[in-house]
Amino acid sequence: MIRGRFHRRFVAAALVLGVALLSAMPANAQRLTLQEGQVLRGNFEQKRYLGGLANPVRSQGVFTLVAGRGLIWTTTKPFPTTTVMTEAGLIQEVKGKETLRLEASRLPIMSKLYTMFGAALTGDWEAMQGAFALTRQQKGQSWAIQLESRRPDDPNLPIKTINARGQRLLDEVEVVKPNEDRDVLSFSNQKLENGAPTAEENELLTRAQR
Amino acid sequence: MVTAACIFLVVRFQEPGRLRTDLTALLPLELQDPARQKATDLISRSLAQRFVVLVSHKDAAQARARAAELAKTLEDTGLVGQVGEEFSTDRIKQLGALYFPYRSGLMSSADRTALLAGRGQDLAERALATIAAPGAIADARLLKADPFLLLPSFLFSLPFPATRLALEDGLLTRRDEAGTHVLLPARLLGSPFDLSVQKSLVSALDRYQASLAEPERPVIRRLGAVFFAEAGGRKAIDESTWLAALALSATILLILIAFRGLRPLLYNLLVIGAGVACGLAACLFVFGQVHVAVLLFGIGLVGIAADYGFYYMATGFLPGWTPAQRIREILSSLSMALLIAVLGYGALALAPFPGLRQIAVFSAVGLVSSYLTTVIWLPLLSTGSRPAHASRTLQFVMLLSRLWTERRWRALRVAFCGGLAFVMLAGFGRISFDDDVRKLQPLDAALAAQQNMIAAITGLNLSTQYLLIEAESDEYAQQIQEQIAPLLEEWQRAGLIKTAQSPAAYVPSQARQEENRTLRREKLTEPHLAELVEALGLQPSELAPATTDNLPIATALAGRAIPFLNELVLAPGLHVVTLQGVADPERIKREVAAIGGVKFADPTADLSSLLGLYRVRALSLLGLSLTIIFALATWRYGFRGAVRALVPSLTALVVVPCALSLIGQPLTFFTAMALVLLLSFTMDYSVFFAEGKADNRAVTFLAVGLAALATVFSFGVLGLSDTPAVANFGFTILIGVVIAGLLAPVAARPDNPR
Repeated sequence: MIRGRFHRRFVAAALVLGVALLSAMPANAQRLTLQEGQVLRGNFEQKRYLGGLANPVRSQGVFTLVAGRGLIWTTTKPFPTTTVMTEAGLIQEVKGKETLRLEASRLPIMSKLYTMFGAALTGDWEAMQGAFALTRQQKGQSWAIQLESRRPDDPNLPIKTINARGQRLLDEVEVVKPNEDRDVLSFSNQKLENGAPTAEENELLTRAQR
Repeated sequence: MVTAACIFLVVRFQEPGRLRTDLTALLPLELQDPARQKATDLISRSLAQRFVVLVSHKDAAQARARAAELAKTLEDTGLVGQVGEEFSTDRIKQLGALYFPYRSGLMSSADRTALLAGRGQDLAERALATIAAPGAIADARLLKADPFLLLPSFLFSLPFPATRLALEDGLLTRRDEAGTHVLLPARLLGSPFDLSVQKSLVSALDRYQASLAEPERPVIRRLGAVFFAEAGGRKAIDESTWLAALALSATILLILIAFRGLRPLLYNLLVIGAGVACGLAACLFVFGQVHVAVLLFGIGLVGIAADYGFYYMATGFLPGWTPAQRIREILSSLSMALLIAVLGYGALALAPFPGLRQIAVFSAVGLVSSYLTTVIWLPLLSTGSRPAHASRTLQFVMLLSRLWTERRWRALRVAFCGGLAFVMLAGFGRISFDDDVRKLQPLDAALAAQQNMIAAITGLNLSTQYLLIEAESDEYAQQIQEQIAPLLEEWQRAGLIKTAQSPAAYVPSQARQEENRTLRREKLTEPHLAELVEALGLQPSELAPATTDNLPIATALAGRAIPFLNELVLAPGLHVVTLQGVADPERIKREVAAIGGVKFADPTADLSSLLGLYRVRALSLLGLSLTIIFALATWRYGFRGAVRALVPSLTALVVVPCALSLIGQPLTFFTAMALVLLLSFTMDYSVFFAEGKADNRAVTFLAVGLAALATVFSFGVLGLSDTPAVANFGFTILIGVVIAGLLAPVAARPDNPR
């Protein structure tokens, strides 16, 4: 029951292209046991390589994944931006002002990714195999997973490959798009905590769920 | 003459469009609005062809698999286009391809507001934030072409109807506690009112549903005009079959008992058939076409000619009378009844309502034809022999007639009149009027429940209200929509509507695109582009500016990439802004009243208003008919005689609405039309008594009794219908004919002792 509810609530979290989700995976079993009332926090650094641009677009900040509620992605550099993803959709704030609101029903990609990463969230790799061919490697404490899209031309899921590696938790993920654009995200200081989100986080999540 | 009428009918009905079915054709010419009528027709046709099927299963994979199977099943019937075509990934690609070259003039309303307020910096920062955000959709090609990402912002702002569905693998899907729901939207290639289309589609669905067993079996709900039409048609056929069988059996039984043979039935069919053929031919000759409602009502009106046949047949019970003597005996009765009916219903022609005028011509010519058939043909066709049971029948009838003449039945007569007075007093204050077409013709309950469930699960809004925009050209129509866009947003904020879709929201006017381009250049590109480009690490030379061409609406319409757009643009300059979740139609109507080129349309309410208008007009003309009839009766019978002649009909006309109100039925358009018919039926009874000689009173009584019973059997059985409008009509005739039939002897002249 809890798992079912959890599954549904993360419709919007799909948009992070699995970054936060994969980051929550334990090293060996690749199975998440994030429960209601738990919060995963950490730092990230993103490098976005876009074909035709000489340098990657860099950003860094912190993220908070609240079980059953959503994901808060706070970019601190190059300038402060907050992106909140919930079941209802996505909102983005720049300098405290809402600059973007995307409803889940208007963005087909969200539901597609939700199905995929919702399954990943609960460690259901078999479900992922519908859309991706999965390869795992294990070397001592380190692991690596490669997901190859079976339909890279699907406009609802514009991802060609996902490469993830880590030890206890996810260290790095690379998401490659069909046009060879790619995002490389590195994670650090990840902590799985028991307890409620802060008042500010709570307020952001509530606003995004409206 | 009848043969000529039949030939004329055959010839005219070879040409298309002789029989009209659209209700607006019944409106007075000055109230007809061609643009509105065209809009309503096109929208109804387009809406009627759409239908949806919702496949629900607790298991997502099963729901999707069954939905895919069902989509194929539907497509295999050859009756529908590609299921879910509008939501296919191809369509989404087409949408992007359509807008991309014209991006310089396209801007969301919010972005436009921001630029007008001088907040270009906000949009530049939003672009940077979006590019850096997780899951960004922008690639380098898009950034070079649209660095401020105004095109994605415009795309996200497009007013697609709000639903709770999301696209998963090309299927519109919703997940909730009950499981996964997949919506299959489809469009019929043929007419939803074609019986064979209805039957094939419904049986294909039913067959598919029946072929599945647990655990595969999903819950399949359906919604669309085609299903309601199929259910309504099936119910109407079932009901009319047994009602017609009941009416016919009862009438045949009545004639068999009264005349011991079926010849009178054939004579009556001849009399009515001649009337209908000539009435219809006259209508087509005068008006060029006839409305189906007029046809049905006219047939009912000409049906009173059966009274003439019954009267003639009843005279056959008189001993030793030849057919010629018999027709001479009742000629004055028939002539007076005809004169009253024709002049009385001639009053309907005074109204500027095409429907009522057609009825006046139809009934006048039809009744004259029936009269002539009775007078000329029945004496030739009928035998001169008197039935063996004639004496006994007349004796029985005389027994009944004594109820009105003998002193010992006085108490019964007083009680009857007292009862009528009580009904009038008790019911008059309760009379209510209701012309709401939805109540008169309720939808199939099972389908209505499915409709509600589909709306609850998917959030689909099923309202048919809209704003009609009428202008000289598409450009002006789009500009009007842009002028009223802030008003629509205000309505949305105030909860007056949920959403609205206007063509200009998908394709802005040329003027607006020019303005947007200037705004973009002055408030965004010139002050902020250099900084943004540097932040992105782009070279200014790498930018790919868009053309300065505007997206013409004709291009968008021809490409058919924008779902629903082709349904919103009905003709050049004639556009529709659909409104969903209208909470206060009256207020919206008031607010747009002063805006040129904009009209609020609510087809259901319009139809109800039309029925209300006809009800009032029919009742007014009923009063006029009564006045004319009274004048004629005064000329023929003197003032007192006229009062006596009108008492039965007038009593029935007053008592019926009171009696209906006591059984909880409102006074509707159908009641009003039934009252018009009732006057026609019941005046015959009075005239037969007023004209008939005292010596042959039993024959008059027999004729009136048979005519009243036949009417009760033909029309009164409609009171058993499940359709409120039809039942209301039936009750009106039933109660009225019984009252007037019982009171008819009052019309007899006192110098002819009863």
